[in-house]
Amino acid sequence: MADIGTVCTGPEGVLLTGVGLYDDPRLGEFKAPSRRGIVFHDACWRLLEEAVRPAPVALQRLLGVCNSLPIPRRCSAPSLGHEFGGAAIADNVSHFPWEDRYDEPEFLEGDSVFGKNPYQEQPPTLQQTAPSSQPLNKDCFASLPQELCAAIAMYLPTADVLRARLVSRAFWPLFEARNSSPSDWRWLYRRTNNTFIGPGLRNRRRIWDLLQGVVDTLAPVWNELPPALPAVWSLDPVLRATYSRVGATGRLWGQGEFRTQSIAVPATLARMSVYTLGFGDVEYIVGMSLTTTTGDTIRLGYRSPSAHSVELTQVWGAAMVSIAVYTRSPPPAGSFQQGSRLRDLGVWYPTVPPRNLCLHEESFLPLKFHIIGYRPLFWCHFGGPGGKYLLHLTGISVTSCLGILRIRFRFDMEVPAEHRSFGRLKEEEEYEDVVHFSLDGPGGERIETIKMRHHYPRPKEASP
Amino acid sequence: MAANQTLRLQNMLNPESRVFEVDRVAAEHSTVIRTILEHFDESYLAENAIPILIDVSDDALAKVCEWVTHWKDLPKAADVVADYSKQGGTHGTANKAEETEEEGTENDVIDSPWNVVFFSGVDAKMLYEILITANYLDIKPLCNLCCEFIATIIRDKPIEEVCNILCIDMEFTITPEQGAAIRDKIIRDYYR
Repeated sequence: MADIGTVCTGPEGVLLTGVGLYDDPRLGEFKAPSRRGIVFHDACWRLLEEAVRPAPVALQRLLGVCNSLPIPRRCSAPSLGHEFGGAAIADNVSHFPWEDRYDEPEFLEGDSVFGKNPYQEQPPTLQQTAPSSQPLNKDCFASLPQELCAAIAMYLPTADVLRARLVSRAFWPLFEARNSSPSDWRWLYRRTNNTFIGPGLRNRRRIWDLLQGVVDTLAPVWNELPPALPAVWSLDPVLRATYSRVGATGRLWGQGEFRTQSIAVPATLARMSVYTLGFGDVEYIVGMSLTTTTGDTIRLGYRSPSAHSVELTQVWGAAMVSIAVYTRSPPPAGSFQQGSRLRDLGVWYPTVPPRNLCLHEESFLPLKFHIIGYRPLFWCHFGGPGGKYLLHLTGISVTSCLGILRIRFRFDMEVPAEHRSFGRLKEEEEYEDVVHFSLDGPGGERIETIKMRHHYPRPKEASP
Repeated sequence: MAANQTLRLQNMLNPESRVFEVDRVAAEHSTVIRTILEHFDESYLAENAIPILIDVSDDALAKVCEWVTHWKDLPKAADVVADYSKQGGTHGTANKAEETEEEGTENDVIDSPWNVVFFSGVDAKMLYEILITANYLDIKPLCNLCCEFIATIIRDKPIEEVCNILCIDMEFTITPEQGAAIRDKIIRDYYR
């Protein structure tokens, strides 16, 4: 049984609950206080307290960070975006980044070391034989007192002392015991050696290293807006009520908005800085500052030590989940339907399709669906450059389960992997349908139409 | 008590041991003998030899007596410690400089060509006996000198050569197979 605690919201604010228990982290049940919160292993919590010492753990901030973690598609638990220092493996081949792509390595049955505190282990009593009290016939130094051996060793580098151990028994005890209780300190050294660190301590260090990222995440300070905003930043309530709100609003793939700050962006804006925070293998925007030509500066969101411009691949809810801009008039009707807007405004993964790739945007859903929220578009150029693979296309396989999960293209020649599959899927489960379409090759068939039924959820219930 | 008094030393573990005569000022290199001198009156010491109770040869005891006699004017370790304590932990560099000119220091002893000659004719067994005698009598400069001399023998030399110099049988030479077995045992015992 191991102890757990829960950081949750109670009537008196954010608190750490009493101790619960679990008997098996994989198959057993958590016997924790019935409050919704973030569960911490007791040993990990103690390490976190050490990591932030001397300050106490900022419970409110910690809960906010945990609640803002993104929840991958088709997953009920938030993702930290890293491999837990080797405890999980990211499968980026058969999963997209917004999916649950972390698998546990092979199940380690009965490895009890993860439940132990390695510092509670004591070095075993020394079993080595002490040097003989009687000098050997051929080694008059064998009975040299230990203090004299130590005195000789003081004049020697370690390598020579180690060699001396192979010369005479007199030098054996030098690395064995140094106090009255003959503990085997070589055992302790090897247990804590960086190269040969034992599994228990290695696990503890893994958690410690991960906690450094947590400590950095807790550090940023929230920038409160002054109660009375300077005129240059103040938002006219009348305009605010009138103007429409467009932009990358709504939920990203985090859990939504927690705090909102609204200011007016003046025409005299001279500089915009973003504050970023690295967590896992991604760097996130956590705050921003705006500066006018007259030097007025306002800071929004969190202020982190790292302030710079970054090329963003994604934005999620560590702190800033929404950036909205109020415009003076609603977007012109039909403006999103223009031919090249999807390429420029959509969120594409992994890259924006090249200009020479025709998108046939009329076959997509209205552009607004794709540019609001986090709904990445991905693509596969299965025909190859100039359509050179099309003549070798022999079949298409579609895997579906409540929607299309993956389309595979079969060719009668070697084709690079990126042209062979659309969508990522690890393996086909039993409940998934796989439909095969065969193509007889050039001149054999003529495809007139392809009909496909796909359920698009409404924007409110949409997920990426 | 006269500073030029002659003391007699005898190894009581060996009934046939010689009686060695050493100047008191030389014998005071030994902290043990200094303590004896403080607790026995002069008349007793005039009639009785100071007992040495360590199993070493007369030759080794003679070498120790030779060394303390040669370096009898060297500041005694016990005096240096006492002076250091009196000065509240400071070294008293001015006094030390004067002593250097008149009496020499431990560094001079270590670097002295006389010591090279002293140890040149000493075999391994004799070296061992000088060391344990110096340790028994608590003659720190000689003890340190022996340790450094042995360290010089060991330093940067292969095991075979050190064994040869110190006349030690190489009982720990291991075959590659034995080495591999030891490594496996270490991995099994410590890293699993």
